[in-house]
Amino acid sequence: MNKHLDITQDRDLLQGSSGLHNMDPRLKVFTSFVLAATVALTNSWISLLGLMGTSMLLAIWGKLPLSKVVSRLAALDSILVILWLTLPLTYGGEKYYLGHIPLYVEGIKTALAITLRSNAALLGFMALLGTTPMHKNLEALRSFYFPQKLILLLHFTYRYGHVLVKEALKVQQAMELRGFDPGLNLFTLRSYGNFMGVIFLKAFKRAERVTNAMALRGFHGSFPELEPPKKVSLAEITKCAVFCAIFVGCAVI
Amino acid sequence: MKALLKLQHVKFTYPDGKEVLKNITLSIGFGEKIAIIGRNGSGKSTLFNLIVGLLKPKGGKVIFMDKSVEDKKSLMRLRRKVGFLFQDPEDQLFCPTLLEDVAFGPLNMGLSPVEAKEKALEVLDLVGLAGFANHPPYFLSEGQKRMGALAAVLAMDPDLLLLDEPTSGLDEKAQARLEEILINTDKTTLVASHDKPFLNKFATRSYTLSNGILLPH
Repeated sequence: MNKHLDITQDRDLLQGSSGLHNMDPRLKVFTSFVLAATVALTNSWISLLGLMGTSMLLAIWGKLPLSKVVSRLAALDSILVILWLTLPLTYGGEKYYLGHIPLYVEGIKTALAITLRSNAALLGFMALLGTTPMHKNLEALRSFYFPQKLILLLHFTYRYGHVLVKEALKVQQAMELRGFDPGLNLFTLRSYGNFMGVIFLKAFKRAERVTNAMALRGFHGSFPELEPPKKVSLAEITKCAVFCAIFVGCAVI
Repeated sequence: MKALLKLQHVKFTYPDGKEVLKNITLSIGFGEKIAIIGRNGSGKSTLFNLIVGLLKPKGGKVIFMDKSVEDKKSLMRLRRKVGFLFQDPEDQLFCPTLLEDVAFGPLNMGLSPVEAKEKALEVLDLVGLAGFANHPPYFLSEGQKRMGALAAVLAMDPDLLLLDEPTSGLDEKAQARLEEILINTDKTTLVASHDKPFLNKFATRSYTLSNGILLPH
């Protein structure tokens, strides 16, 4: 598969034999929920640093490749740069001057808190969810009684996302081969409108065909399970409980 | 010969008014291997869609095992017995792994997970993909996807196989394996293809679909 089309899970994260890789997906999904909730509720600096530290511990336990971790966090932080460029200059309140430029303290604090929050969350999710195949994560969601339709929606988005990207690239290439040169004009807008229309139609037709294929093979609402869920060991539950306790502790501090 | 499937004066018109199938009458006996040749847009895929009830004929009847396919019950009965290989295998491989995909049909048919897994592995071995059982379908080549989709169809143990352009995207080795499977199977088979040399190797009868009519070769 062409590398730039690959929007599936990172195999470097998936492949591994760490304790985190072998942990039951249901426990990892549960821990992710706890992490998400604590990241959203935490306000103090100690708590945020604690969450960041715990996420780092998870990443170390999962033996995540450093290059992958850095590149993912760098991608996130490149978006957060916008916050650092705007909040300190526009937030209001107490200010200091850097030369002639006014910097608002609250703006810097807010940008820093958001940076810590998002990095802690991404790192934690990479360790917890990135080390489990997507379908196992979805099975775990099913065991938590998530709506079946939502799970199917996530499954098909993941399964057919790259197919859609591939088709979009084909259409784009076809446009370029016929001399399409995008610019700031009505023709470009109309062309992109047509492009979106074609992609939508292709996605719609494919959805119809997949639905037909499923119906022909007896689908009636949910994916049958080929293997029953494994029993969770006490040791795994204990490890999960320790991390959940740390996360909750961070939120409580 | 006793007929497994009969098409009697089947007609189909697209919503835009194009009459793609005018008067299709065909009787397929048990174990027969029938080829349908036709240009793009001649209605080969439409004919297959009509047989499995994905489209409803505007006229005529589809009779499967001596019973007219009219209501939901008869349609479900037909779908359990007819395996349809689509033109695009990407549409037929929708599960997280190839093994789960191939086991999907047997599980829905009521086989236990152990039996379904056994069946799936057996069929994957038949099509030469045993080593890819735990691979996600999107990491397979086009030819492997097609053979994987064929495995998914074969795993349901159908009485009638409908194969729509089965050789497209296959390399020589995979095509040879497909030919071997089709020659050796005792299942009734209906194949739509442009590939005449391929069809000549196993078809017992062939037809050309042109202007909405089936003409015997």
